[in-house]
Amino acid sequence: MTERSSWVVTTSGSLAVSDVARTLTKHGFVVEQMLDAVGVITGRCAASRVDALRELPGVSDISPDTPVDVGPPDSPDVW
Amino acid sequence: MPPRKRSRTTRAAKTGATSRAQATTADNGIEAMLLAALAAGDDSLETGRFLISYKEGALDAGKRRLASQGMRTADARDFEAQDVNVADVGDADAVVFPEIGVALVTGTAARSRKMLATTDTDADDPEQVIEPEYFVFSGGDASEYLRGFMRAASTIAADIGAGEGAPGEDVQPEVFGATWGLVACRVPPSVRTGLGIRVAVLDTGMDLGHPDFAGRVAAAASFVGQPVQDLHGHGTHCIGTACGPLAPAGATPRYGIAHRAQIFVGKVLTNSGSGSTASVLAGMNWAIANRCAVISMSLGSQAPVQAAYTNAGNAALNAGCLIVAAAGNAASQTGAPANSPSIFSVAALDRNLAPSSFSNFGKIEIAAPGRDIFSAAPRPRRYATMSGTSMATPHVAGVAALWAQVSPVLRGRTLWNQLRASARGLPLPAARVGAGLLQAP
Repeated sequence: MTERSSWVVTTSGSLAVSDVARTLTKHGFVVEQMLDAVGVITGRCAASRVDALRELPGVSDISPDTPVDVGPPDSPDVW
Repeated sequence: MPPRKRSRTTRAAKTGATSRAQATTADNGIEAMLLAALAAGDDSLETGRFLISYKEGALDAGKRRLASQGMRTADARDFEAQDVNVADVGDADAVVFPEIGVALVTGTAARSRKMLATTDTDADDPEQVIEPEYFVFSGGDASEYLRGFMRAASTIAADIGAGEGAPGEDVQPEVFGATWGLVACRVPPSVRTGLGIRVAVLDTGMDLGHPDFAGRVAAAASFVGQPVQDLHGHGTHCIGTACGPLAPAGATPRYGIAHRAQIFVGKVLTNSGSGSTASVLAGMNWAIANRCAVISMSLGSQAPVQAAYTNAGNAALNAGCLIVAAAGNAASQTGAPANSPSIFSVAALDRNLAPSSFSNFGKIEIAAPGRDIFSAAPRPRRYATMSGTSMATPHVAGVAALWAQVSPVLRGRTLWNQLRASARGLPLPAARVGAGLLQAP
């Protein structure tokens, strides 16, 4: 799998988002956004560390940050 | 902008009453006008006719002024069900459409009176705006010009009832009325406006100076490092459908649903139409924190269910917010984020209420118009026609805002259920159309 540097961390709700972010930071994760209303943290780290981060308390899921767009071009009529 | 000087030698009857009947025919023949413009190489997109929009309550004064200028006027109320075939108005110089407070002046009458486009009217004038009428095209760029021309010719001719035979019930009024999508969702008869409801549209931003949206934007934020101003067009189009005005100026049809909702513009995609999960989640977070009852997301990717989106959808529902998202246009399984169980997934329908060929399937909550959707576009274009589940989604967002206005109980999961319960059943599998065709309260 291609190594990715940006990640989306979904919290479990058992801990405050800020607490989870603090723990992630201690483990080498560079927090970029703390999204309290949706329980998500985004940031960067080496792919090799992600499996370990998934085991941290308050972490429900860690997935690569993936591209999103208004396509695939909606139809031949769309820009 | 003053009307351009024209050199259309093919247009019949340039001046004078002696040629009036011929002029009327030419002026009212959309195809003739298009072909004349094409032959003359005119790229102004103006038809030669003028539209006068009157101030509220000033229609009668406006009619008197037309009469004082020697114009013979026809009134749409004189036609059955106000179904005016513009080609049938005889030798009238102008047709008045009282429901929308607009008069259409023929090219001949406009030219002989040296009519000028203006927005600079005096306080006691009945006119609000006088502007050239424009052709309406599908497609986005010059390479589609001819194709758009021909499509527009047939579409507009059908819309105004040109040609033989009685007006067909399947002909949707678009030149003076509402878009086919709004009609299909029974928006025009609804008394709801979306007043007091916050609608967030997370997309490529918005043309914040678009004249149809003056004073409508409650908040705007960018999550992609670019100004909110939409240089792409997709976001402005989606906001137009969800929240566009009740009566756009001139002959522009009504294309917007929740015309009194508060618009929250979240730019989560760049001007090239791209972004990432992180920027989208940041926008969702912002919209939920602002307690937007409806959050519209015409975006996605052909990815499996993503936990973060599911979480965000649940957070939204718990906060009384409903996230609607486009199923996607890959003619494949519903993409993310619409495939999350907590996000309301929207499929696209064609005008004949069949699923659009591109529309994804599988996890679908509802279906809404998504083919050939006319809505707002960034200036100078102002309007455009686009297709996709991206266009179906803001139909749902707008109608959801109308339902949300009905009762403060209709929020989150309750609003979700209401949209599905009120949908019009279609004889198609739920995997294609969900509960069926979206319907306004």
